[in-house]
Amino acid sequence: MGSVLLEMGDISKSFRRSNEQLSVLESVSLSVRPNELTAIVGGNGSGKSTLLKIAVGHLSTDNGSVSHNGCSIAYMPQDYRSALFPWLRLSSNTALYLDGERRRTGGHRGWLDALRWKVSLLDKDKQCICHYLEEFGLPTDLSKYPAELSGGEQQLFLFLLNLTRRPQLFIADEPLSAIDLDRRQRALDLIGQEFSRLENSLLFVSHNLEEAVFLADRVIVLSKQHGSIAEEISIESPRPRPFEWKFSEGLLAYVKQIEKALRS
Amino acid sequence: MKKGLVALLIFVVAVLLWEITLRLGLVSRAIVPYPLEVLLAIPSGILPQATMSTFYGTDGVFHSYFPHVLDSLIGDFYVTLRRTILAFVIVTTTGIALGFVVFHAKAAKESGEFIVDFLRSIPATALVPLFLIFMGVGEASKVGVGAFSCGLVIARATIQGLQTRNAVRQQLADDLHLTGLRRIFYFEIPEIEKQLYVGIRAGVSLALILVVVSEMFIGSSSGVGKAIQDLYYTDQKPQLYVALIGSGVIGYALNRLVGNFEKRRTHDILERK
Repeated sequence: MGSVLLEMGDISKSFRRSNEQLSVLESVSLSVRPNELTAIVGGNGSGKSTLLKIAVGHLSTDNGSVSHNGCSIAYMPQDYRSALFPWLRLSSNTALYLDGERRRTGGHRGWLDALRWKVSLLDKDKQCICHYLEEFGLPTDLSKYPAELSGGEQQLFLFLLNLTRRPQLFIADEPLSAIDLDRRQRALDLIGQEFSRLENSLLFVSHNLEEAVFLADRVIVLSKQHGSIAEEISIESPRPRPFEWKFSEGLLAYVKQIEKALRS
Repeated sequence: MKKGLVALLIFVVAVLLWEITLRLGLVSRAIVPYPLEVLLAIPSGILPQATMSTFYGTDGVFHSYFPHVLDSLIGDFYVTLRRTILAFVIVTTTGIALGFVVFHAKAAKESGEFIVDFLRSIPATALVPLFLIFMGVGEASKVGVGAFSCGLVIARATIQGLQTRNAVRQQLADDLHLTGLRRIFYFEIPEIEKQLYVGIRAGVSLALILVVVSEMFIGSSSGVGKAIQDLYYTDQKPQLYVALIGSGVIGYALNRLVGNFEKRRTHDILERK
């Protein structure tokens, strides 16, 4: 694998809305390297989610190129409620997610494989997800259906499920937006530790500037007016960062810099 | 309980209106019998005329009661119900399968959808003579008529359901490499379940209509359709009304059966959503 996990060059994207062409992204270039945490911030309609969808391959581009260099990618959409199958128990949801990852990397292909329909949760996978769930005080009873969890718990479950997949690149659209303050801080700590330990990368969108600065190695500010990158700010502080750093002058200075970039 | 009482009240009012309309001479007695006549015709109309000799014959040896049941109107109900259920079971599976094949066969998708829509648009009763030519006057043509149109309704519902799948879950299924049977059982069938029930409910009603119509027109020796025609030609009005009400009860019961199952399933899913 090369030194870049995700390479997006000169991306442009527009949507057709009632007879007018609405340009969302114009000549945006972005790359994500191994062991790099990148945050994308910007106002509503600045193209953050569109950029992530293009990065993961869910949307095509009008111009430009996207390359993943064969790395494994997990994507967590903004609509987290739809990202779990509501008719399946949490155990089956987990099994499908992790089986999908194995099928991507393993040789489970061919017409005979298409006739196999049973997906079962392996013990090691169950232990792994339950370990995370316990850490966050979530119920470890995987026989429940997603709707038996609250909205925030569903989002946290989905986030942990994707973390269990251990992707080389985790792309997440507002992954912690519905999670309560206490669990969110624990999630931030976990991301800091796990991504440093596994040397994996994260590309995420957030409206919470403190959260973005606390987690990321660099913050990309998208401009709504031009649909382009307004500023790219590197966060010069070693990871994982201690909880106290969240209230430091250094972090606040970065937040102010981002706010300024957003306003301009 | 309250709902049941209201339904009973409505039924009583309808019967009273029926009686009053006849008493006032608004409708001819030659067309509609009195409700009481219909009620009294139920035992003689529905059940076989059983006597001791029905069971034991003149030789005193026990004979099965079943052939005599089949000769009566209740036997006709049984035959029609059997044909409808057979047609319904065949088409529920083949209709869903056809919908999946047409939707997923990329090359045939547009033409397949057109063919399904076109065939569905042909008035189903107009197909009865065609089935008579192709399949003869036997059991197959009666079941076939019901199955054909009902299958197209279910196939259309399946295609429509697949077209309106949740976009996020569809992407997710692609991301998770859900293919083959896994994709069908874990994602697509549960995803389109609501639309499927719409098709199944419409299909079961249509199947009953067509089976009864085919019994009327395709040389039948049994079935409600045949009984209705016989009773009409022999001018047995009270029995004719018993047959009509009976076929209504069959249709209603089948619809309630599917409806209750749907309600339970979709209620479960909604709760889970």
